[in-house]
Amino acid sequence: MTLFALLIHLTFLVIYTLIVAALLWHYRKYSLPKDPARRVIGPFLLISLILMITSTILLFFVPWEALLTLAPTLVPTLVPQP
Amino acid sequence: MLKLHEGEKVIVAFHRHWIVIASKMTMVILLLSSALFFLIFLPLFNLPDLLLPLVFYLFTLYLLTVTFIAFVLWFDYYLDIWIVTNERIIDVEQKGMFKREASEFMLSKIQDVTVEIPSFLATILRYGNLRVQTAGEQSFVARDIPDVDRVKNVILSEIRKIKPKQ
Repeated sequence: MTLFALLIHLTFLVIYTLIVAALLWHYRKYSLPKDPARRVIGPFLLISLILMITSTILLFFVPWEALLTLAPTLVPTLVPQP
Repeated sequence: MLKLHEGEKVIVAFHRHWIVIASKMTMVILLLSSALFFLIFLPLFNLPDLLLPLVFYLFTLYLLTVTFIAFVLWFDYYLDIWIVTNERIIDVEQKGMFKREASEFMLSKIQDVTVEIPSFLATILRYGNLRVQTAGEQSFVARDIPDVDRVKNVILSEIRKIKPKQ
């Protein structure tokens, strides 16, 4: 189950990376050089990278098998009790 | 991106006023605030300990998505650009993530240049709309331009160089 979750997660990250790469290519082709607004790219890439790494690490802390086994019993817990 | 003719030089290039991206970013701030409130009030939900790692994992994915949304908003703002050269005005408008429209208007064909300051906020922040009408009844409107009077004066100055008073 962890492997399956990892596969889904990596697929998401690959799609995310491909879209961001396409946007960056488009931006490099059509932006003006020496435009100060270009400074946004660096922080965005840094934040994205940190979040991608963090989410990948957190993925391994999630007890997927236990959640799958206990999912039917957890649903009443998620519904707010009066 | 920009191919200049021989003897052509860029006089001024500008994006929309920062107020445009700031107002779009309020949506991003709202999304981040809701995530922050969720984190603050998480103990009230009394979630089983088993679920907490999943919650934090999904939270990072949520932040990643919000970051992407913020980038796309900025991208759409940044690639809207107007370039005034000594020969033409180039109007580039980004529509969505990959669609863009580029128009060129020769300075020699421009007949009217109109400036509109649409609101009190625009007066305070010094931005406005610039409408350029050409001889071929084509026109374009550049909205939310910073220092729009200066841009108008630059365009008129370049037109006068091309078409001296007769």
